[in-house]
Amino acid sequence: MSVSDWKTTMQGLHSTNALVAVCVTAVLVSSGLVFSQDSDWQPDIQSWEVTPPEQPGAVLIRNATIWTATEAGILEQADLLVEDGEIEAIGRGLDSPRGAVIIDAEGRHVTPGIIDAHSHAAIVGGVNEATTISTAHVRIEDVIDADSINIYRQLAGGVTTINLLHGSANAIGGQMQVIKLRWGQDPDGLIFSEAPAGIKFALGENPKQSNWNNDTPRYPQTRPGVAQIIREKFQAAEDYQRQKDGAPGGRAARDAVPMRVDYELEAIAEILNAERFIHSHAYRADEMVMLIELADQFGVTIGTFQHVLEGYKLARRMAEHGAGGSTFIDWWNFKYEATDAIGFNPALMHQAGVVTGLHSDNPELARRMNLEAAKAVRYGNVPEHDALKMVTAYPAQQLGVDDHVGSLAEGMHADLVIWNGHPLSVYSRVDQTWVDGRKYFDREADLAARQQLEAERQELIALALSAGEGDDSDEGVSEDSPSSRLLGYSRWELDHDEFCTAHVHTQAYGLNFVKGNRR
Amino acid sequence: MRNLTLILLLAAAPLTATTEFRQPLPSVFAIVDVSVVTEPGRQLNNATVVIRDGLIESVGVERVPPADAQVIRFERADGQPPLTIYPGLIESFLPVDFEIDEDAEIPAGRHSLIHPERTIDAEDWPADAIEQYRSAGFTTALLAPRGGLLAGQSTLANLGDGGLKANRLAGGLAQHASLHGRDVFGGYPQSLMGSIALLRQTLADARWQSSAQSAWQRNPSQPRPDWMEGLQALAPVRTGDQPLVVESQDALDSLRIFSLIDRDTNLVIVGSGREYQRLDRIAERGAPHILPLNFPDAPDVEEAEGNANGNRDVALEELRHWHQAPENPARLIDAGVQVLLTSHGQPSPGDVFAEIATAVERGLDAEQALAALTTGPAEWLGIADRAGRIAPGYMANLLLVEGDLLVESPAISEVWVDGRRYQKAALEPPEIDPAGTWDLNINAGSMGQIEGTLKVSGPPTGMQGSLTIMGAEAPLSEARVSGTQLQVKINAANFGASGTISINFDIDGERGRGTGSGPFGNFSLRGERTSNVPDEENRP
Repeated sequence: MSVSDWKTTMQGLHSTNALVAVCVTAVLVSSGLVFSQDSDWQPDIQSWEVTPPEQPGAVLIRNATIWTATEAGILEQADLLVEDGEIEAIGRGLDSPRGAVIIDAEGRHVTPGIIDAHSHAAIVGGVNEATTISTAHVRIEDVIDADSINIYRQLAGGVTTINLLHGSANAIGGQMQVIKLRWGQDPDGLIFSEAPAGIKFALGENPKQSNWNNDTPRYPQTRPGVAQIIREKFQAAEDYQRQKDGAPGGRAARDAVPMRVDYELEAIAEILNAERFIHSHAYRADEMVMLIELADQFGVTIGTFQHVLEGYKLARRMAEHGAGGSTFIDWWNFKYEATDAIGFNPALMHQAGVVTGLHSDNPELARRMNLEAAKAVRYGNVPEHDALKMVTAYPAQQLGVDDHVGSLAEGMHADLVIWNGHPLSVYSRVDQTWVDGRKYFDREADLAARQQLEAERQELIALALSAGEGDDSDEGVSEDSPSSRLLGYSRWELDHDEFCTAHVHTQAYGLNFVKGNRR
Repeated sequence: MRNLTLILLLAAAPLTATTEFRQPLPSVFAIVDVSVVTEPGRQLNNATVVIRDGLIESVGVERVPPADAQVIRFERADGQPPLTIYPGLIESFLPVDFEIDEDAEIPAGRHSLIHPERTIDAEDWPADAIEQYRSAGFTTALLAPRGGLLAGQSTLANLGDGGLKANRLAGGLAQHASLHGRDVFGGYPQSLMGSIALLRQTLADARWQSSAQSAWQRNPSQPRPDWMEGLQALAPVRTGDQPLVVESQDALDSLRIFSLIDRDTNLVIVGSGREYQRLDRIAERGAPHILPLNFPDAPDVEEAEGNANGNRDVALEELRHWHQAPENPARLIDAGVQVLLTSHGQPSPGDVFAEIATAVERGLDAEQALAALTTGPAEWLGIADRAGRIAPGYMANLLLVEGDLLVESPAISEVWVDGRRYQKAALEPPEIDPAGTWDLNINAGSMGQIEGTLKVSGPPTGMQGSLTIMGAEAPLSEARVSGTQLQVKINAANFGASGTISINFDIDGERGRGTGSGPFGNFSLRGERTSNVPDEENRP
């Protein structure tokens, strides 16, 4: 489908989906997904209450428009067969195995599950350990918030894999964790076990504390200082690795004082051994060049630059080094180092051969990643299929999970989305989201469940009334009551990465994210 | 306040001398005609319990009391059932909070949140809390240090008077930890993931220190490893000889603890009350739980019904937890988890009974509930041969109650610890209103007079106030009226000592006189009411 085709489709969508749009709004209003003044409303659905969906032996999706995010491109009137959680075949007129779940997707579109390479959406207890310049020993894996309603809401936006990143307060931040949105599972069950290890780095104003009102400044306070501290940590990790390699083995080890494990240097040494990949927050071209040069000296290939607003200035250099670019498409000017951002950045990086993805850095934006991809068509005429890859196949490559997710092909995990229309249209929405061949989101089931939830509410309210215990005390109210106007989020979910400056963007939504991860 | 301490200490000197006189207190008692629950599920009627020198000598039906025993028989009205004796309750988690000492020098390589070597010392004895626990029927408690990430080792003690000296049963029972300590000076760590990382590194360091030290002892001709002070105290945790007791904040917190602590460790969880939310995973790990009964009050649905948003203002999440929390203990037990109950988390230890009654209504077996406060903790704490039952040779730790113990508000009339009787003074109806400011003249013996000011406010059934002596104002930890007497208690820590200062003050109109006691000795006092307005600011 060409751009002009798409425009025609869009016009069609405008008329046929107007009614749908009204209905969507109505659903949002009735479900409470609207902003009211002073309510402490919390979500009705809770992860621990959810029984993870069954995995059917076989699922056959028929007659869909399938966006493969591979060389195969977009297939019209095609079938997709899932067996035991993996994609078995894609083609026309596929035979249906005995007992297969058949989905007639006539008129609907199927895409790979969306992958968000920059998220803080399901982290509990703080996104930043901002106290020291390197916190490589700190692990997001320890603080995955499986109860976060973001997981479910993002499934409803077609997202299936997210990269939970430490904040950008320090030059070397904590270890990241890629998770699949297997809503209802516990934290261990969310972990994307095949994903390579990674770590957050940060350059620029945040690690040098430019915008901190901090009484106790932390070394370093300049960009060269940031470069120096990273170099020093790399050297310390080299020494550490050398000592480790030189430790006596076998018989000699028995009476030798063993080497003390240092989890910080362990993690940094893994970077040097290409066992852990750098995903570095960065805006400006000059300091990205700095990190590329530094990495080259240590034989390290950077995984991605995150935000990478000036990526277009050094796209060829990035491509040459092999660093991916994970960027916003139209968030800019929110601070001095973001003034050179342009909407054409993803298109230009993509043209120069950089593996380019679009990320959210924000749990609200993450529910509409398909529209971020659509903007890449608007800014720079990225072909639609390539634009979709910017939220699927390319972020999968950036995270090193492209052998499993990010595209629809034989042998890939059955992480996919069924859209009721063109996936890059503002009028389209997600009908179903599947992860590992399990249906974790189903719009119809969601709508139906609302009646049950209301019945449960009424039943419990009747119980509370008959208990006659109603009082005015605040006991029993969760400490996590949202302190912001954004409804349905617990405090930690709003404990946003202030050092990513996303709080400035949130003003556009009229929202007040809770700041202050350093408390 | 050092001056006052000195004065009172000196004043107490003559009194100390008097205690050298022989005081032939009886040490043999026979409590007769009572029902005795000797252990969960076993009850004797018309029983006699003989106590000798702090131990239970015998318990049986219609025994003849020994000739040397003081016989205790309770007067009962016709048809009134006898009093019931239960084993004294055992509190499995009585936290003693430790503040971070800002001036303390932290050895290099150590962190202010890491104190595995800490123990409960005599000066940490929480006298006020112990009195509260005792009056709720608890006779033994695990005193657990709390504060930071690794807080230290607990001490097991009876809850009698006389401090740790008279009550200590055993030390080093368990190591106590939490994932939620944060550096108080804004340094590392300031996030949950940071705190977990610090704990992980510390546990690894302790492991390393042990093997590094022994390797160097075997072969000293190599560079000597650094010494990280305090971490050697984790050795018994590492070998599984000492339990590691970790406080959990919610169900996912428990899973986090499971991930951090390896299965060789003897892990015990202080529960959050939300275990039902991830029951399978929690049961699978099989760690015993010390479970609080912190059930939330019913959400205020009536008010919510009235406003524009209707009762959507009450989150379903909140309603669910309110509804399900009381089932948590029963569901954990049904899932095969060993459960001990704790009154920790209640406003006052005695409030635990109402919660137990609720839990029993919602499926908790009453015998199991009693076991979780007696035989269960006795076993866990290694004192099953001397505590948790009424049996010969066991410590004479028991309580007397009118009717059943596990009811919403049990009428506990007395508690015995080590054969010493603590009767709960019955309050007479108030006949006076002591509200106001009283100028006191305290007679501190040979050292003369001390001026003080006592302020009390509120109705006689719920009073509060403060005592000011030599410029230092201390809140009253307890203030109540019985007949014409005002009875107040003050934590002596306010005046640089440990223990409790008690004053009984008999009031006649605008004047009063009374007696008091405290860690400095006994004293007498007189006073005059100078104002009926105790506190200008509190007036509407």
